Amino acid sequence: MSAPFLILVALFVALTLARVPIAFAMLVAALGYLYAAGRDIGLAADQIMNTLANNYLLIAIPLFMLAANLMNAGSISDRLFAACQVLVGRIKGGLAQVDVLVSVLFASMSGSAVADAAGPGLVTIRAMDKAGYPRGFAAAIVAASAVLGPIIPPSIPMILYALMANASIAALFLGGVLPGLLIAAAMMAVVWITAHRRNFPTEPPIPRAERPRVLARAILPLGMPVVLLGGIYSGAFTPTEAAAVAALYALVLAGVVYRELDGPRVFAAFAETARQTAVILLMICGAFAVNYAVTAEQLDKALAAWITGLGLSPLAFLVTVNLVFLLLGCLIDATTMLLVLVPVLLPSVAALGIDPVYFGVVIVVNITIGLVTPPYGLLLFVLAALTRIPLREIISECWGLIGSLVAALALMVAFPGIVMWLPRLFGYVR
Amino acid sequence: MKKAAAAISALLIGAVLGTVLLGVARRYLFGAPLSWSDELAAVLFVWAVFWTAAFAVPLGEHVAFDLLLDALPARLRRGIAIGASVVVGLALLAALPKTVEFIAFLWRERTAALQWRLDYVYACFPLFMGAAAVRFLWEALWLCLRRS
Repeated sequence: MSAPFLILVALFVALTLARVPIAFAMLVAALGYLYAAGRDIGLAADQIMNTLANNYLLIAIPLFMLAANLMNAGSISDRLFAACQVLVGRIKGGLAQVDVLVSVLFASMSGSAVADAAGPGLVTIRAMDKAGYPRGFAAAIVAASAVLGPIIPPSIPMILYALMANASIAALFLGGVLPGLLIAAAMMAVVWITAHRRNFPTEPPIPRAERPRVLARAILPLGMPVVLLGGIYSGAFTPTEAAAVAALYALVLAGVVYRELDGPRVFAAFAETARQTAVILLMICGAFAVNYAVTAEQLDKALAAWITGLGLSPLAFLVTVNLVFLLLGCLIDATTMLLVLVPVLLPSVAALGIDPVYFGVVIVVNITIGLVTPPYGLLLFVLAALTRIPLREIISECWGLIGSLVAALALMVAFPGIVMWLPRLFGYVR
Repeated sequence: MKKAAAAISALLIGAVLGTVLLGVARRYLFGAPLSWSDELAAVLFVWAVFWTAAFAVPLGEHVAFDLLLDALPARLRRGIAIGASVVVGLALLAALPKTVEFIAFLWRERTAALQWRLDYVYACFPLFMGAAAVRFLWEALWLCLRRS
């Protein structure tokens, strides 16, 4: 490691610990590297602008966010919630089961965990509070089930990975389907056991005559994943175009069909999308500037040579990487890990002959678990801030659910077929 | 001011959506694909990102690591925050001339379909860098003055 690169690392660590926004810490660290290495400072701008302007796939990020924000501005979350209550409300701990199922459905329309927690998640927490659930448990199940957002397609972290690894986004999306359903099943099992042990309530039955109406109210929102994924897999749309069509679908549904959006609400959804986009894209910019330095120093290649020199089997490598990432995920922001650490590992993944699609899905599941592992779990913070439920109560209730997430991840590492079966079936990988 | 900046951000996102949809509509409804819609969407997208980052996102809304700083006493915390803001502000300011020079040098290059000058298209980046530098220095100054 050269002296300029050590300056980069020192600047990044010092600024991050001093609570400088991580995007700016990365950018300043990269600028420090260019200066110390005697390279043109303008290279940072070059690297960033060329990446942003020439990757059409990145434009899918704001469009998927917009679709989720428009759905949350209307009543689509409530409709999904009511329909799921008909389906699983009668199981013990009914509302918690409803939450997991709503998350599965919402995840098939949105690509971010925060959108799930802040939209349908808040609806569930309010209902669970009324029904007498411990509030910490309500927030914990919402946080844990929100991780399905980026695992079940569409998925913003998978878009980022596809870009860095040059992997097929269509294959990655398919790879996330079964792991997502597996996680949902594991979580429902944990809820079932907890509900019996602590005697959580069952939902009152919804009269048989009303059920078709409640289910029908959710039909149109459920058309969205059909349009979205059908469009991508039939080859009709690129993922970016599919995201735009999904946003239009949400806008027409909430604005024209249900008449729930007025001017200020639409404006707020677009302005919120712009801010969320700027925050995540700025982190991508900072990461690309840092990755330029990593590549220039050939650190990723050096790491690959070192790892192959160790004679690790692919399985041992995957287990090690997953353990390290789970630990780091307790402390470091998920997006930073994905954008900075994963690219460094990619040459090693290739050298060991691990399929990049498989690695991508596993790593996305791993870092999204990091969104709920304390002390640094973004979803825990978001929910504590939105609901005023003390962080301590949420954390004390989330361990069993984290256990189910880690168990599902372990199964994915032990049985790669869980990830690869669907992409193989559709002919994306051999 | 803040409202106007947010309105422009929202409009840019709306324009990105409209442009991508226009491309889809021309291909499927009119059977005449546009050569420039992808490119226009990309230009609007980079402007939406850097315009919003420069003028419409409060610094506190960015992802940051606060575990360490929150554990420190208030006085030390403030000192570190001022120092870090000054470092970031000055670093961005120092990098600005070379960045402007680099972007300006692109004047001979043009985008593929629309034939727009690349230095104009990429001007949003130095704009963002300058605005961010000012905001970090302003933040430091504000933290200093708040006490006295």
